[in-house]
Amino acid sequence: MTLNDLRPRAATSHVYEIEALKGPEEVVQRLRELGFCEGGRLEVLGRLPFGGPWLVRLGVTSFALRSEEARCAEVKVVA
Amino acid sequence: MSARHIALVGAPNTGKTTLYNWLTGSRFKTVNYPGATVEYAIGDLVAHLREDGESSPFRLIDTPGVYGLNPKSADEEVTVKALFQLPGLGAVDGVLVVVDGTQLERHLHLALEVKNAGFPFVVAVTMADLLRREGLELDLAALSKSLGAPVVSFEGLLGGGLREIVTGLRALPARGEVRAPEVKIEVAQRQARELATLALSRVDRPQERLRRVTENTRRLDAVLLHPILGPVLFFLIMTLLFSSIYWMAAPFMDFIDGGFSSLAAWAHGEGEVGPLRDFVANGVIASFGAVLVFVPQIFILFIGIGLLESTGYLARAATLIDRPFSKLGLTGRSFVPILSGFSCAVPALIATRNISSRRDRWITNFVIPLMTCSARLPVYALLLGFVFADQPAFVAGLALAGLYFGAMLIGAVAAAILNRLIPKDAASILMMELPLYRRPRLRVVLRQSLTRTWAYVRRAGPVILTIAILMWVGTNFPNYDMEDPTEKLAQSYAGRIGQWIEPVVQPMGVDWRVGVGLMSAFAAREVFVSTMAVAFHVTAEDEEGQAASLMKQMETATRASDGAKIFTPATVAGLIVFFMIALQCMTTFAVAQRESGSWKFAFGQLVIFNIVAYVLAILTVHGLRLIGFE
Repeated sequence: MTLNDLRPRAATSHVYEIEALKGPEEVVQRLRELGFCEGGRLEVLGRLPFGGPWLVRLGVTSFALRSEEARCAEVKVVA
Repeated sequence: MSARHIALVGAPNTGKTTLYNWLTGSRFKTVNYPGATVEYAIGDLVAHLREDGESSPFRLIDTPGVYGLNPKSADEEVTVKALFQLPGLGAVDGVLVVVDGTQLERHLHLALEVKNAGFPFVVAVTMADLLRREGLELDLAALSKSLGAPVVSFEGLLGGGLREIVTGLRALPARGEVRAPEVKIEVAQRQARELATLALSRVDRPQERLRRVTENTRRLDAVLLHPILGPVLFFLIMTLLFSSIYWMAAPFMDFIDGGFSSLAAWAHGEGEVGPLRDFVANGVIASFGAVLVFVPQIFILFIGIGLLESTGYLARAATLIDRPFSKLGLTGRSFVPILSGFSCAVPALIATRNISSRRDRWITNFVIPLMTCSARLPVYALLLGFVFADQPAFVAGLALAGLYFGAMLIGAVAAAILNRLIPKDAASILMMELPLYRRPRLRVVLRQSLTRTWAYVRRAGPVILTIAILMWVGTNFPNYDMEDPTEKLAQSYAGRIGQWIEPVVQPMGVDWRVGVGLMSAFAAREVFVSTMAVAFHVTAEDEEGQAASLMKQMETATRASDGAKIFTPATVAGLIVFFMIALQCMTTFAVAQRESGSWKFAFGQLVIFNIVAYVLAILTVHGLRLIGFE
């Protein structure tokens, strides 16, 4: 399951762990540089309407990710 | 010994520019948005941090924020170039790595890359004040030992830690060979995480404490990035920004206008006067008055944008606008350059270096000159003030806000057309960090706005003076002593040139005098207003303010050919449409060429915009007449 497959409203009450980062090389490299990595804990803060960016928090930092970018993060529920 | 070159390197929003300002004593603004430092700045160490009688031991270089040393966007390239290929110097002698103390896990890998590349370095850990407040005591000694470099805590508000940083930089060993770092990002990431854990090892429940630092930001984002409230508030904030330019500036404008009128009357004196007094009062003072009266509006626009920049809201605005922008072939990252296009297209074109996709950047650069830059403001203020003269001030304010949104709409149409024409290449990227909200530092914003406003005045000044001289001579000679002002103008040099080009402007419903104004606007858009003041013979004898006097002249001006009024709602709308689209600024043209690296791009923009502006202006005038407007 990728971050982009989650249902925004329901996802806000869980914590996720990143299992893998897969996808276009350029996008994955950038995600890593921003601090996304396997084992990282993700919270979903919400999503802007009409398929807009996902708002997520990794550690103490918030990020906005487009759906193409969210699709690169495979996640599982941990809490 | 000559000064050693030290580059400051760090992720966006780490407080790098704040540290740079403390070290060099310069007054660059700090901006809470990824990609604010678009070119690198070089400065000497501020005097009080040097030893007695010493010249600066370092040349300090501030660079655009980067997440790694593997460049992907134009501004990251600037940083990597500054590190490895400083013009005439080769690589820098040392690096000051700036990391955010609340983000060690994410930022320390940059220090590892710098180390791997072979640079001697010092690490400055910022946000020390925030950390202390939450009881987060970092073990910097352990971090320093592990990294093999000095690690110093730095506090941006009061400058705590500066001396230690300078001591660390002085003790840096000589640089050996450097090379592009060969460390895999996954490995550097893991090491950075271990280092962060080490630094936090003495803190009880560190993650929980770090979270508390972000508490306020989280609450604000729940509202400002709310799926429904977010876009609504975004729209309200932008409307407030653009309409406040009008109503907040009004009292200051009246004051300046009155001042220039008195000045002109005083310079002119009583009764019949010679050409010199006439020139000073009706040529120079009238010209400067006509343009400078709009300075308060420009100042307020700069303050508004400055406030948005320093709070951290712009990253949210970029996020909110990403989805609609992506339909136009732009990205949320295009928003900040486009917004700064509302003050001036030149820095806006440079700010697009933060956009990593070439195609996104190209389209953004193409539409930026369509945004309502500050030089258009005087023109719109005059034309709207004329049309809405009998209405309360907020009507003109709303109309102006409408023009700003109109500019965005035209930009959107242009972008959508390009988006269809240009084939898609690599992925377009948003992926943006949303920085913590910070209280705007009012003093910094005010000082910055003053600097930018002054730069506008200084740039416009010589152009206004030159055009004022040309216009005054052009409209008063060769028949200086002629009695009838209308006849005198028509027979003057400017009148003859104007009549020669009149066929070109006639379809827009205006006469040669406006044509001369439009021509002069290619020197600088705002000069249109001062040219009009001279062409329509606003004189020092008028009792009321000069702006009011110019509007009165416009009210009564008629075409010589058929005696019809020149300035009707239809022709004024046509002029506004022309100014909205036409590319009249040669600096923009030059910078567009440099930033795109393409003459084809720059010339294409220039030719297309001006032709479209002309055609649409004519269509507007005749379209409005067709549906019953004058």
